[in-house]
Amino acid sequence: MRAEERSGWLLAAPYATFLLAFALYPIAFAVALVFLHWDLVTTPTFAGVDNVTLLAQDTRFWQAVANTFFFLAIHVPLQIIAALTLAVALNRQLVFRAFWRAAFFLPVVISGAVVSILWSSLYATDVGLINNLLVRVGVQPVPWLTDPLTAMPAIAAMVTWKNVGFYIIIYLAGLQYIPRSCKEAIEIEGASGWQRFRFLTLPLLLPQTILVVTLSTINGFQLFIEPYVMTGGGPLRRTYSIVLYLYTNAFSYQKMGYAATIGVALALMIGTVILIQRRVLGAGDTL
Amino acid sequence: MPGLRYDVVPVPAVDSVPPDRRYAFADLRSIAVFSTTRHPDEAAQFVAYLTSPEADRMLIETASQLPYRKALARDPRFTQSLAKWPPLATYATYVERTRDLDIDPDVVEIFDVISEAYERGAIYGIIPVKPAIAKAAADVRKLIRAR
Repeated sequence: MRAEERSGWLLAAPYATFLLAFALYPIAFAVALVFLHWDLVTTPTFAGVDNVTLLAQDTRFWQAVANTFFFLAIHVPLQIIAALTLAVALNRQLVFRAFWRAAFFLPVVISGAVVSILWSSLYATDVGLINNLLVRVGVQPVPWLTDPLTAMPAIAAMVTWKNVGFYIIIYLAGLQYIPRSCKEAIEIEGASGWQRFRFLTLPLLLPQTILVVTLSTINGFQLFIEPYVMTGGGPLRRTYSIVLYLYTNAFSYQKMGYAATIGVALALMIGTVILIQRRVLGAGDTL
Repeated sequence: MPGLRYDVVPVPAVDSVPPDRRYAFADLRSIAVFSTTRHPDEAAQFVAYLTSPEADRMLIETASQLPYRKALARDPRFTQSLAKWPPLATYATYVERTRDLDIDPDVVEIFDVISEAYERGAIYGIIPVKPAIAKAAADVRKLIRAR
């Protein structure tokens, strides 16, 4: 081995080791677990395709899949609208602009468990701040987290609020990248404010929108902390997400093989959905 | 709660388990005498009193708690005391077959299935209680067959 080659291997070794230990090994282990029954304590036994057939027939799993898609259907569009609107607002000449930008980013760096506990008290039916405000304007209090119809939308709204700062940054970067000449040209053409947004800003922000869709979808599929802390998957399992079901199977039911099967299925699902999204949005040549 | 109507039913068990091998849950209390005590005889006397039929009758009548005795439900010395608390009658037949914990490997999942049936039937009332519990039973049977 030449000296150059040796130093190459040496330099790559730390990251390669990390990758082997914390990415490749766990992935291979998870795939192997799909074909095993294992309670984490006794010796694993071979399960054949038991876990896969069980998954196909498990109504609780498919309900969790439906719940997660329902969450995504609210969260992803809401995330785009909220992030884009706030980014456009924060891109203007505002007083204390740095403060506002930092304020919207703050929830991103707060622990999900802390945010969930905070919002649980905001959503509380009898003593929560949100219902308190509603009652003042003459609206009946809503049992946000205990009504099967509002629990998941309430969680989706909260997750959107928590992550909006991150996506604002992505959109702000995109907004600052729009060439001055284009802005001047559309102004000279006499476009109104809305037309400028609709025909200049929005199309030029397509790469950022694709990124926001992709990232918020991947993150949304991994919904766990919020239902775990706020609802435990209830009421009526309506907020049981795929990852919460995975966690329950692994650490409450001690079914590691089945939990790994859910994990592999989730990974395949995320991959498929992202592929479809990118086809639809025409991301082939942008990112 | 005044006016609350309730009863006690046996803990459900797997179909194939015969009646004499079905268990109920109990939070057992034990009594011990330290070997280093300066009053071993008095302590033994006190333990004998606490576990005497007389004290056990008081336990049933005043605290509606069941003493840990073989054949409690069939013991004529306790018939009158037990009659004071009709809901205890079923439970009393289980006294010699009680456990602290359910050691079934799927117990957490089984309890989840049952509490979700309770949620659907009794709390949100989206289906009547009986079919909800019947479905839970079917789901639990499926769970047990699968292992």
